[in-house]
Amino acid sequence: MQDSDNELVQRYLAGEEDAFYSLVSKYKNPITNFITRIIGNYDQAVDLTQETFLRVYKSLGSYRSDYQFSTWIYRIASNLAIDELRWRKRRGLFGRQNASREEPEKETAPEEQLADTRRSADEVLADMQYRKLIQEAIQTLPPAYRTVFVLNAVEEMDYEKIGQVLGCSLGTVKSRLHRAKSLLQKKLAPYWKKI
Amino acid sequence: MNCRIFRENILEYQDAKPEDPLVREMKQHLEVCPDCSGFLLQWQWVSRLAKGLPRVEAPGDFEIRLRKRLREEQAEVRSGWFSFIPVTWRYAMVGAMSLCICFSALYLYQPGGGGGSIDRTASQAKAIPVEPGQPQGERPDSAVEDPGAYPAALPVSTRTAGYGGPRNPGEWPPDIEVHGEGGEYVEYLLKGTGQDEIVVRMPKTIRVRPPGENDPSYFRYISH
Repeated sequence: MQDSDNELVQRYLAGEEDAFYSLVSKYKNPITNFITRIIGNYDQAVDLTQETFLRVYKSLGSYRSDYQFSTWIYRIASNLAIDELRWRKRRGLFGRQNASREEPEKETAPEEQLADTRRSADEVLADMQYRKLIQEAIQTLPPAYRTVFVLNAVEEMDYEKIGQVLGCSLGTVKSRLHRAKSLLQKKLAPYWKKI
Repeated sequence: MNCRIFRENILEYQDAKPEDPLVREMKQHLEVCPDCSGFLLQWQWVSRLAKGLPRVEAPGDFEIRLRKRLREEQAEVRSGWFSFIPVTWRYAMVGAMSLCICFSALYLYQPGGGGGSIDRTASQAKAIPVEPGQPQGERPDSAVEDPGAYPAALPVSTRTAGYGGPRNPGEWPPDIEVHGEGGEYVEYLLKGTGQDEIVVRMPKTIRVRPPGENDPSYFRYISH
């Protein structure tokens, strides 16, 4: 994957514009998903994804191939997402965001889920409820913990790569992840008992 | 192994290999501690919930919008001021403009730039020892060779020398007798309304006697 990304970058730098759009089509969904889970607002996440690719486009000339391209683009995206959270904090907009309300319409429809005969309607509704709960709980995490948690639990990145994306040590990544999960566990504990 | 150590290392428990001694100890602890077993289940449940979140996708027209925005940004860069001039020329122009501004500033602030005003300060006056036999209060006629050596502005009182208010700078009031008191001379560069400059040499302390009048305003000029 790394080679093909670097190859696309080299092709773009050699003047092949379409190589850039190949990178776009490869990373647009993961980056949109990542930013949405961080900031909890789909429309803003799409804007920030666009901004991420603009920055990539402008600075591809300075990209060093000894880093994985995916690490680099996630780093840009996480910086933009964290900046957005800081901006909201300064403006006092934290309370205004409602993750569930801003959830994109890309989820599996309940009727599709009900088509799975092994699951009851109650289970499907419970699942949807829990998704809403976890998304809301993620939004309450401090940004540093939230980013690590999303990269690990949602994007399924290993600790080392998370450290490279966020520019922090392995120990810091583990400690933040542990703290994030503990906080989530506390927040979701009342619902755990109902299962 | 106790509950605290178990919970602190719960990340390792999930990631480490089963043969790891720590994992073996943790497993033994789980067998005897229902609290930590429940804690582990809850921990795994949170991870499962997060993993189960649906993947969000970019909108279908994402690339079209991105292409449009990139075109707009490129057009903005191209349509900037002086964009038709090559970059190296732009740097040269900026350099030339900076030099022009510097020289203009220097010209405006150079001594005597105000025209017609006496712009030397007495505090910067050049003190010259009195030479024996030299007439005191002499008014030299020659222009000054090095204007920079003289003070920038005279005190206000010296601007209005003579009867009835200001006279031409450099013009010594003809009807005032000036007597040196000894000590040092002070040279002032007086600038005329035109480009002419003149040096007035006077003692640091003078006595002014207005003929026939007793105008106290003269005494403003006694000392500098």
